[in-house]
Amino acid sequence: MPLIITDECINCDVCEPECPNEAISKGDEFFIIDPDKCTECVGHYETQQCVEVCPVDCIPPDPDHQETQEELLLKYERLAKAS
Amino acid sequence: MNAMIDTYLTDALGPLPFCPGCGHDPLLKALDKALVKLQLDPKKTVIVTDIGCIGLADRYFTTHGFHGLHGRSITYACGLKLARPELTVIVLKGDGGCGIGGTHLLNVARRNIDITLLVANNFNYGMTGGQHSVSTPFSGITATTPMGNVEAAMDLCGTAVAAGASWAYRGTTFDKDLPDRIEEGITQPGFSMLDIWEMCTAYYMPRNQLKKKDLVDIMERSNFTYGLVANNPRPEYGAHYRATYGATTAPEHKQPAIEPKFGNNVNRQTGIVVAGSAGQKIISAAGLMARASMYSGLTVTQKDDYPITVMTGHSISEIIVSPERIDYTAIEVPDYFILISKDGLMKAWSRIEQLPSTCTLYAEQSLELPPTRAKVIRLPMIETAKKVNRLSIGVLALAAFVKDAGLFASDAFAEAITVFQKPAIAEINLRALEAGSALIHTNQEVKPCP
Amino acid sequence: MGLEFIEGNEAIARGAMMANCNFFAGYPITPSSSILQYMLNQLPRVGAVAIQAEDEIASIGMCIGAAMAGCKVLTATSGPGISLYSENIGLAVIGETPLVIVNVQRQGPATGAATKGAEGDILFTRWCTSGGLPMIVLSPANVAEAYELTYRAFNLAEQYRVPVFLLTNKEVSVTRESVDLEQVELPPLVDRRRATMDEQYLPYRFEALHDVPEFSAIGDDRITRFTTSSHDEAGYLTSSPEEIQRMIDHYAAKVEDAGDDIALVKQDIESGAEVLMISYGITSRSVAVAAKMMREQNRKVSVLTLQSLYPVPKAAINNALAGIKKVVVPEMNTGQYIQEIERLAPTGVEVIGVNKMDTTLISPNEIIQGGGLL
Repeated sequence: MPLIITDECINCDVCEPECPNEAISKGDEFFIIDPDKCTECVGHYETQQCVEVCPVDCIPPDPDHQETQEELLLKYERLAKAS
Repeated sequence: MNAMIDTYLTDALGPLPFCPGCGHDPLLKALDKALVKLQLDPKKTVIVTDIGCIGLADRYFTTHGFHGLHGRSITYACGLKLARPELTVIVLKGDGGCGIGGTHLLNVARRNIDITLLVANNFNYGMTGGQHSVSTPFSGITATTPMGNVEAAMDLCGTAVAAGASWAYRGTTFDKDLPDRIEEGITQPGFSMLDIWEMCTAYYMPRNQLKKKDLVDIMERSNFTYGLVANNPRPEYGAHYRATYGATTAPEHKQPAIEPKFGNNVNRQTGIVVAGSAGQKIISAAGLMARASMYSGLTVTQKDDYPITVMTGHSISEIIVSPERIDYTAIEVPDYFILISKDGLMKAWSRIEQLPSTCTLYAEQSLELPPTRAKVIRLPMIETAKKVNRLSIGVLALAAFVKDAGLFASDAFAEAITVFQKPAIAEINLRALEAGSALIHTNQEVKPCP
Repeated sequence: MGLEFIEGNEAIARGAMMANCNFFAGYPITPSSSILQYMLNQLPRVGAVAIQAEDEIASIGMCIGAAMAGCKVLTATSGPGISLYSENIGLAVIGETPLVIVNVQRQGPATGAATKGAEGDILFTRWCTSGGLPMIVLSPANVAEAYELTYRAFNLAEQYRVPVFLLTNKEVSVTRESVDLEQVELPPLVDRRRATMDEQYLPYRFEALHDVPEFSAIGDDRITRFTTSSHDEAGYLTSSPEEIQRMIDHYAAKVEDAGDDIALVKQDIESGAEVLMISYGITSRSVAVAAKMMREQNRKVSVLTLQSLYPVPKAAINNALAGIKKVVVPEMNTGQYIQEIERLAPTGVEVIGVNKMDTTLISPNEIIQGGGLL
C-alpha cells in the first residue's frame, strides 16, 4: 500500500525531492503523499526513500489504501508508461 | 522608502544553512513575516546574534548584522540601542546563550531596555554536538546527560519576568500565529522576549524521540505557561534616562581656579602627615590645607589612606608641598606630623616611633605617645574642637600647625575654606581655623607674595 | 580651568570629555570607580549616555555595541576587570572597534590590595586576549599626563580603529596634584574616517595591510555587518586560509606599521653617559630624582621615560641605548617591561631590574642602590 504522512510532520522538506514518482508535495498543514503516485519505491529502489530520510518517522503505510506488492509493481509500470 | 518590502531575507548566500527540520528555519521565516508586516527600514534595524547555530542567522537578513561573543548578545544590543534609540534591535539567541549570558538577561529585563529577544530554544547546544543547556528538560538525553538530565530546566520567561521583564511570551515554531506574536514583541516599547521552543533534528530530537506534541506536553509538565507569560508595561530605560537626566539643569560641579596671592616660606619639598579617625573629615581638611598652599604659590600633592570601611578606623593624609615640581610622592621622613586621634596613633605607631628630631609632631594632648625623637607639641585638639564643632577637629589641628610652622599664611587657609566650602560649613571651619591658630602663641613671619 | 587640585581619575574623565567621548559603560572597582562616577555625572549633560552595567563583561559589551553605532566610548577598570574584559577585547580587535580602556592598576594578583598601587599588568594588558595581536598601551606619570594621554588614546583609537589602553596606577589615579590643565597642549582631535564610497559598502575593505577601513555606523545609511568570526572584507565568515592570514596581517600591520606615529617618549640623553634608566608611569618620577642625585655627584646618566609602552618604541629605545653599558629598569612588579628591553639591548649591555611589589613606591634611593648607580 502507499505511504501516508502523519501530523507528526515538521515540514522539513527533505522527503519531497527523494520521491522517484514525485508523489510528495506541500499541503496546507504539512507535506502530503498522493496515493495514486506512491509505489513505496517498488520498481525504483529496495527501500522506501522518503521513510529513510524522514527525521521524525512520520511516514507509515496508509491504512486506507491497502495494496499488495504486485499491485504496487503494476502501478509503477503504469506510471512509467505514462511519463 | 516607497516600494513594499516583501522579504527581509536574502538568498545571496543560498538557502538557510540549517539541518533538515531544524526549528531555526521556521523561526527565522516567522521573524521575516513579522518584519514584513511592520515594514521596518532595514537601515534602522539590526539583528544581533549570539553564538550557536542561531548565530548563522544574521547574514541571511538584509538588515544590519552584529554577531558577537557567546552569551553577550544582549550587551551589544543594549549598547546599540542606548547609542541609537531609533534603531529596532532584535536579538537572536539560543537556550545555550541564555545560560552563559544569564545575568545579561536578568538585567536587560530589570532595566527594561527596548530590545526584542527571540530565544531559539531547542534544549541543547546544537552547534557543539548537543550538550545539555539550562533549558534541557529533566531526564532529557543529551551528549552530556547520557543517562538522563538530573537538572531542572530553567523557566526563561519566568526568570526574566521575576527580574522585571515587561513582556514575555512562550510559543513553538509550529504556532501559526508566531509571526503576529513576534510583531507584537517588536512593537512593545520596553524589553520583550519570546521563548520559542523548537526541534533540534540533529541531536535532541532523535536522542529523545521528541515529537511535535511533546513540546507542549513538556511545557505543561514543567508548569511553564504556553502563550503570553507577562504583559506589565512600564517606562523604557533609554527614554526614561533621557527624560530624567537629559533634562537636568543642575550646575556642573566645577572647581574655581586658584590664583596664587599669598607668600610662603617653603624652600624645599616638605612632607606633612595628618593622622586621625575616619569621620573626622581629615581628608577634607588636608585638601583645604593643600589648596591653601596653592594659594601661597606652592605645588602640592595629597595621598590618603583609610580602611575600606570608610566610617570607621584611621584616616591618614599625606600632603607634600614644594616650590618646584614634585616627583617622588612618598613621605619617607615626615617634616611635620599632626596626630589627632587614637585611631591615627595606632595605625602610625611605628612611624611615630621612628620620627627624627627634625620632625615636629603636633599631638592631641590626651594621647599616650610612644617614645620618639620628634619635637612634640601637645595641643588640646579634642577639647577645643568641642567648643567649635566636633567635625572641625581636622581644620582646627591643621590651623595650629599652619600657624606654628609658618610655611604659609593662615589667611591662605581662610581663603581656601571660604572659596571651596559651602557657606554654612565654611563658617564653622573659619571658627575652627581661628580657634586652632589661637592655640599657638608664637608668631611666624610669612614671606609676602613676590 | 586654571590651577586646580584634582586626582588622576578626574583628569582622565576630563580628557575623555575633551575628546568628545559620548558613551561610557563601567563597573565599580577600586581604584577606578571615580571615573565611572564622573562620567555618570557629566555625560548626560551633553546628551550622552553613561551606564553602570551589571558586570565588566556587560560594560565592555555595551561599549562595543555603542562604538559600532558611532559613539566614542570609554570604559575604566582595574586588573581584575581586565581579566573579565579579555574576550571582548579580542572582539574589538577582530571587529576593528575604536575603544579606550583605562586600567588603573592595583596590587594583585586576584583581589590583592584594592587601595594600593602596583604595576603588575604591563605584559597582561599587552597580551590580554586570545590571538596575540598587537595592542596600543599608553602610560601616564602624573595628573596632567593622565589628561593628555587619555585624549591621545581617543585619537589613536579613532585613527586606527583599535582598542587603546590607558595603563595607569592607583598612585597616579588617586593622588591629587596641583595642576593647570589649560597648560596641557593637546593635538587636533581625530575622528574615525567615515565611508564615502557610493558603491556597495564593505565594512572591512582595505588596500595596503595597514590601511584602516572606512567606518559606517550601524544605523547609518549603509547596511553594515560586524562579526566575531574570522571574516572577509564584507564581514562574512570565511575559512579561506589566504583571507584569514590577510586579515591577521592587517590587524598586526595597523598597529605595528604605525609604531613611529604612536611612540610617545621623553628623552633626557646625556652625552657620554654609560648608564641609562628606562621607566614609565609613577616610577619614572622616582627615576627623575635618582638622575638628579647622580648628576649632583657628577655621574653621567641618560633617562628614557616611556609614555607609550606598546607598540614598543624601538627606535627611541635603540637610540638611547647607543654607547650604554648598563640599563636600569625599575618597575613596581617582578620584572615585566624589562623583557622588552632585554630583547633590544645589544649583547654585553648589563640590564638590571629594580623591582618591588609591596604596595609602596620605588624610592630614588632604592633605584640608586638597586642599580649600583653611586
